[in-house]
Order: sequence, then C-alpha cells, then structure tokens
Amino acid sequence: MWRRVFYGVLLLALFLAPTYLPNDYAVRVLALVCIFGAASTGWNLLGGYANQISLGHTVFFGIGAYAVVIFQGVYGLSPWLAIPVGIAVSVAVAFLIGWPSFQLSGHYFALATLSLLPVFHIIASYWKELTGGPAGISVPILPSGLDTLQFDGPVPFFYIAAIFLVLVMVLGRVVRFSSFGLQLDAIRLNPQAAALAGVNMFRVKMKALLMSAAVVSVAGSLYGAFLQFMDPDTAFAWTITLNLVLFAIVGGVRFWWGPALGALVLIPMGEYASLQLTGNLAALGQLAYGLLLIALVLFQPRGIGGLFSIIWRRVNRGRA
Amino acid sequence: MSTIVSVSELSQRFGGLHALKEVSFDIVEREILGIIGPNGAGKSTLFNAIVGVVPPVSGQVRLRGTELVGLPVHEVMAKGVAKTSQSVQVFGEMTVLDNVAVAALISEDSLKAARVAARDELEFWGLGAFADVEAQDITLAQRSTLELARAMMLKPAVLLVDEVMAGLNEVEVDQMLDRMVSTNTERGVTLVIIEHNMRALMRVSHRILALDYGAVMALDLPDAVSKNQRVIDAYLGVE
Amino acid sequence: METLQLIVQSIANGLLIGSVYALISVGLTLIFGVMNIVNFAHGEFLMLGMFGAFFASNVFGIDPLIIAPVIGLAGFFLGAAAERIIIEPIIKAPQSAQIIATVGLGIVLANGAAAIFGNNFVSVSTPYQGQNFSILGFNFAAPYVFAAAYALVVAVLLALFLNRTEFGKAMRATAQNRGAAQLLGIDPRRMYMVAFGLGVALVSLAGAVILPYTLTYPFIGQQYVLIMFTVVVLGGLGSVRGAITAGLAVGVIQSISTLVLPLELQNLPVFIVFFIALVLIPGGVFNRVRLASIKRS
Repeated sequence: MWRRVFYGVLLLALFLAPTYLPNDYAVRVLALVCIFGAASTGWNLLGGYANQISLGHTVFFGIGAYAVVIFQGVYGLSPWLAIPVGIAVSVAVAFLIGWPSFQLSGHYFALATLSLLPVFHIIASYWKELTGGPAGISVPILPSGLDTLQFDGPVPFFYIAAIFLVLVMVLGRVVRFSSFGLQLDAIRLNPQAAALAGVNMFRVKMKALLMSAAVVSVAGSLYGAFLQFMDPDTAFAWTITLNLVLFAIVGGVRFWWGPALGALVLIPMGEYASLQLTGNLAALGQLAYGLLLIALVLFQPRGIGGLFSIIWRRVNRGRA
Repeated sequence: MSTIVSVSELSQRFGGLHALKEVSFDIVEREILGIIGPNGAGKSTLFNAIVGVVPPVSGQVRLRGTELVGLPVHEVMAKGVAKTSQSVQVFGEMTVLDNVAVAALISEDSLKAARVAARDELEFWGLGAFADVEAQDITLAQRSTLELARAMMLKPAVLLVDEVMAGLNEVEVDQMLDRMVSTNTERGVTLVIIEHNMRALMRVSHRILALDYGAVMALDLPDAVSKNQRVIDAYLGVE
Repeated sequence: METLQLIVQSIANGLLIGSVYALISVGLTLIFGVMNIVNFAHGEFLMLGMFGAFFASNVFGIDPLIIAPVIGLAGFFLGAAAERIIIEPIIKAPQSAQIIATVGLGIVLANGAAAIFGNNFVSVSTPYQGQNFSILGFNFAAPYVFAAAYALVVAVLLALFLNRTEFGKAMRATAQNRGAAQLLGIDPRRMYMVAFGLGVALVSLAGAVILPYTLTYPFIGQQYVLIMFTVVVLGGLGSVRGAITAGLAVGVIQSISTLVLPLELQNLPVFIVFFIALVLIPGGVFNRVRLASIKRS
C-alpha cells in the first residue's frame, strides 16, 4: 500500500517537473535522463538480469537514431514510421551477433558486441547516400507537432520521453518478477545449474537480447528526434555504451529501477562537469566515470540500490 | 524387463587422459542401478557424458531409442533424463522454493503454478519448511536434497544421482534411502546412483555397475559384485 | 602478370603488418590463457606504448625502435601493478565484474592520456621513414620491415620463454590446469601477475615499434579492438601459437581486401572473418579453450 503511494508521488514529481524546474535547460537535461534511463533499463534486461555483458548496445541506439533522422531529414517521412524500422534493423543485428556468441562463454559475447561498434561506424561513414557520411544528416525545421516530434519548447518532448521511461520501467518490473525473470536469474546465478534445471539458456538469453535491443533502439530514435541531427561519431560513440553500463551499475543492476536511478544521479553531474571542465580537462569527466566503474566493481558491485537494500534489511531486522 | 537407456561405446578424453573407455551397458526400466568405483574411475564423467554437460568424444546414449548424445543439456532434461551434481549446484541467492520452481517452468506456464508445484515437491523431500529461505543459507546436505527436488521437478523418466549422501548422518541416510526407494517404486523413476556409502547403495540397488579407470569391471546383482575379484582388488579392502 | 605481382606484394605486405597484429594480440591471448580474463584495456596499453615512444623520441631524440624494449619493460611493471591493484581483488568475482573492471581501466587510461596530452594526433619522424627495401622486385617500406623484424624476434623469445624456461613452463601449466599446477607448488597469483605484466609488455612494445609508420592519439585503442579480437578469436582464446598464425592471416586478409575495396572499408572483411570464426570455430583454430574450460569447470 505504501509502495503504491511512493510510486504515485514519484510519478507526480516526474510529470510535474516542468512546473518546478528553473529553466528550459533543466527540462532538457531531465528529458535526457528519461531517454538514457530507459535505454539503460533496456540494457539491464540482459546485462543485469542475466549477467550477459553487452558492450555494443550503442549500435542499436545509433540505428534507432539514424532511422529517425534519415526518415525525417532525407525522405520527409514521419519519425513514428522510423521507430519500428529502427527496431526491426536493431533486432536483426542483435540476433545476428547473439546467435554465434551465446553458444560460447560470456567473454565472447562481450567481445562480439564490442566489435560491432567500429563496424557500424565504418558503415555509417562510408555509406554516404544513406547516412550522409561523416558529415551526417540534419533534419530541417518542421512545423511543430506530435507528428514531426518537433516543438517550440522542450516541454512536450520531455513528456514523450517521460512516458517512454515509465513504460520501459514497467517492462523492467514485469520481467523481473515473471517466470522469464526467474529464468534470467537462474542463468545469472549458476548457468550450469540452469541447464540442469531445464532452462533453454540460448532461447532465454536471445529473448532478453532482442527485447533490450528494441528498447535501446527506440531510445535512440527519441534521441535522434531530440537532436534533429546525427552523424557517425554521435550515433556510434563509445561513450553511449559506457553510459548505459555505468548507469545500471551505479543504480544497481539487480533492481528494475536501478538504471533509471543511475541516470538521474549521473547525467546532471555529467552536465555540470562538462560545463566546468573544458579543453583537455573535459576528459577528466570520462576518466571519473572509468574510476567510478572500477571502484563500484571492487567495493560496491550492487550500486546504490544495493546500499538501499542493506539499509532496508537492517531497518526490518530492527523492527522484528 | 525392458531397457530404458542403452549406453554404447561411450568414450571420453581430457587431453591425454582416456577417462571413459568404450563404456557400454543397459539401464533397465524402473530399476535402481548403483554405480561404484574408486575416485577417478569416471563415474561423474559418465553422468556428464550421458546428459551432455561434457559431451563425449564418441559413443551413443539412447533413451527409448532416441539419441541423446549431441543434444544440449536442457533438451536432454526435457526428454526425460535428469541429473544432480557431485559439487552441489544450486541458485544461492534464490529461495529454496524458486530453486525448484525454475525447473517446474518446463511443464507449467505461469510462475504461480510453478511455485505451487514446487512446494509439493519440496514437501516430498522434507524441505517444505525452508521454502522461503535463500538456498545459500541452508546446510550442504540440505542443498544436496534441494538439487534432487529440482531434478525431480522435471518429472524425469531416469534420474542420475551423484553422491547425494555426503554429510548425512545415519538417520538422514535412512530417510534419504526411503525417499529414493519411494521415488522409484511409487513415482516410477529409474534411478542410477553414484554413492560412496557402500552399505546404503547395496541395500537399495537392484544391480551394481562397477567402474575402474573408465572401464566397466562388473555389472551384476549386488551380492555377486561384492564377491567379484576385480572389484575387490580395485578397492583393496574398502568396505 | 601485373595482377599476380600486385597480389604477391599485397600478401607480403599483409604478412609484414600481420606479424605486428600478432605481436599486438599475443599478449591478450596469453592473459586469457593464464587468467581466464579478457583485458578490455589492451588497446589502451598499446596507446600508452605509442605515447611512451613518442615522448622518448620528441623529448630525448631516441628512436622508437631503440627505446622499444625499455617501453616493454615499463609496460611489464605497469601491467603487473594494474593486475595487483585492480584484477587481483576480483579474480574470483563473476565474469561480468571482470569485464567491467578492465573496461573501466581502459577508459581511465585513454582519458588520462587525453587530459594530459590533449586529444590530438601525434606522430614521429624517423630517418628511415622514407626508405624502402627492394627484394625480388617488391618494395617494402622500412618502418614496416623493422616492425615485422621486431615481431619475429619477440615471437622467438616468447616461444623460448614459454617452452624452455621453468617460469614459462609453470605459466603454461597454470593455463592448462590451475588446480594441478597449484598442487605442483606453483603459485597462481604470481603467475597471474607475471602473465598480465607480460601481456602488457608485449603490446606496449608493439606500440613503440609501430609508431614510425602510423600516428597515435589517446583513443586509438578502440581502433585496434576489432583487429585484436579477431586475431584472438580466430586463433583461439588462450593459444599463443594460434594468435601468431591468426595475426598473419588477418594481416593478409586485410591487405588483399584493399585490392578490391576502398581503404576505409578495409576492416569490414576483418569483421566478416571474426564473425565466421565465431560461428564455425568456437574453440579457435587450436582448440585449447575447450580443454582449458573443461578442466576449470
């Protein structure tokens, strides 16, 4: 009962944000939190729930982003048409990369997904007719509206991003407590025992991979609509992979709200840091992210969520 | 009685080590077949080869005519041959109930139904009280039993039991034996049991298979095997 | 005949560059073989080797090829230190933690370099950069030849180390069967430290040696990822011999593909090879992973 109230309050806080946030910039940052929080939640379906680390989810993000920008910018089509196309391509790529590597140990999967990035960067840079090459594609200014996903201010777009985040988090929760989630957990905890328990590991992992690829693709599409521009460096940036993984780990990979929490904590910090650190020092922000990853893995692999559950357990023990 | 599983010319190699040497034998339907042999004889390796955890380099294993070698482990489970592990493999952070419920998903559609079925199975093995405890918090002997419960949740035709009595006291051994016999007679499961506790094994087994250095030394009634000279030599006076 | 000459030249170039790919990747596969860990920061250590050589060349005027062994030595200590500080604590942690830790390390190294040196392209100029060797009518640029020669020498030394020295044999034993090696009195922790140090030494030496014919910048590690992984998977994760063969193969494949494809696409065939290797050869050409992983489970 209290939990429902808690969720309600959070939802209210989220959707009323434009009213209490100081300026447009803050709304835009929160929109980014929603997009990347959702993407990270998507990544976590496979990375956190099943412990299969994909280092290449950027590719799905970039495909989704390019889909929107190409549809709108080059063909003058609706971004809403682009989104399913992005999903279809991402899922196909995901299947292709998962199929050989899921039969092997986890290292191969990480290796294989990581290798996707340079390949797609090369394709995007070279296939000028489709992607505009290294210069990228810009979407021209179009009349405001839901059909073009362009608006006069950031607020309407923020609402779309927020709705998307809520939907993805609901998906994350549903999966977590479903039989599918139990199978993912079994694979995470003890792959040997999972096989002996009759779990079809390949099929379960693949399902999670395809689902997460689709989610990340949509997030990328929204990002593309947000920026109204895409080029190979933006679409297939290694930093996107880093962000997806980092947000999940910081928030706690075992929690359906973990990645969103991580995004909420880190994106504003990152924005602040990038404003303060310029020139060479800009790299310090990323360096801090790297150190944070190492520190978390060494000392608090369960992230902030893990801390919460320790406190929660102690409170309960005190009560009992 | 008819053969339910026929193992033929099963071989396994690890680098230079010839762990299983063209092992051939039949498992009779609804029997309890005990497997004995000194350490390193290849008993667990045999189980792993049959089920596909470590596929053999050559040979066939047929379950009622269906070839098992080459199938992924979960498919072997689905076809009806389940196995427990010598080094007890459970899902530590999951509850005891969920440990078994995972296996129930093979035949149940919903998580709820799986958990209901799992509870019944736990009751049979005497673990009902621990349903909501995390698997890593119960004793090793209990985890061993948990593995059995999970394997039985797959409703197998044949169950390969690898050293499930380590760490059990006399009373617990008797309890375990009762449950295994019950699994065999009342639930119709063919059992193949690896066990170091000779007395226990001799009591329940219909036949005994003796392995040494990856080869079959004897396959006969318990009495005959215990008098077999090769077996005695291999054990040099143990039990 | 012209085409034949072109093809042979291409193959020869491919072998030269492939030997360097082998050198770059052999450390990665060695680390995996001994420790069962993929060092996702491997490319960044290559970058550090390149920057080290650049520094020596620009500030002290020492040629990269001369300073290379020193770079390799420094790499060894850096690698050993990294292993002790970051890897050692998580050696028993789940694979995912290990993956993320080395990924983090790579990020720290790359961005650290960027913060210090700036994200600029740098290169060296050496007296032999314009020179060519002419053999049987084929031309080979001197920096490539020297790099390949280095790779060959290091390969021989590595083989001697692994096969003829006590330590090397102990390392191979640990790679094949950690438990048995422990029973023989070999300390796995020491092996891990040396293995990681050696792996980093090899790749940073490679960095110094290739600097004369290429440029570098802090994030160049990611550019080599595809090559390194393809070599290592094709040769079999953990197989040193496999990495050498596969390195040469990848070099040749890449080189030949430039005959038909534009230069920017030269890595696409590499990826296709990677994908095929993944599909067809789970254990790699030399199949050692299967045995190693069986023994470990």
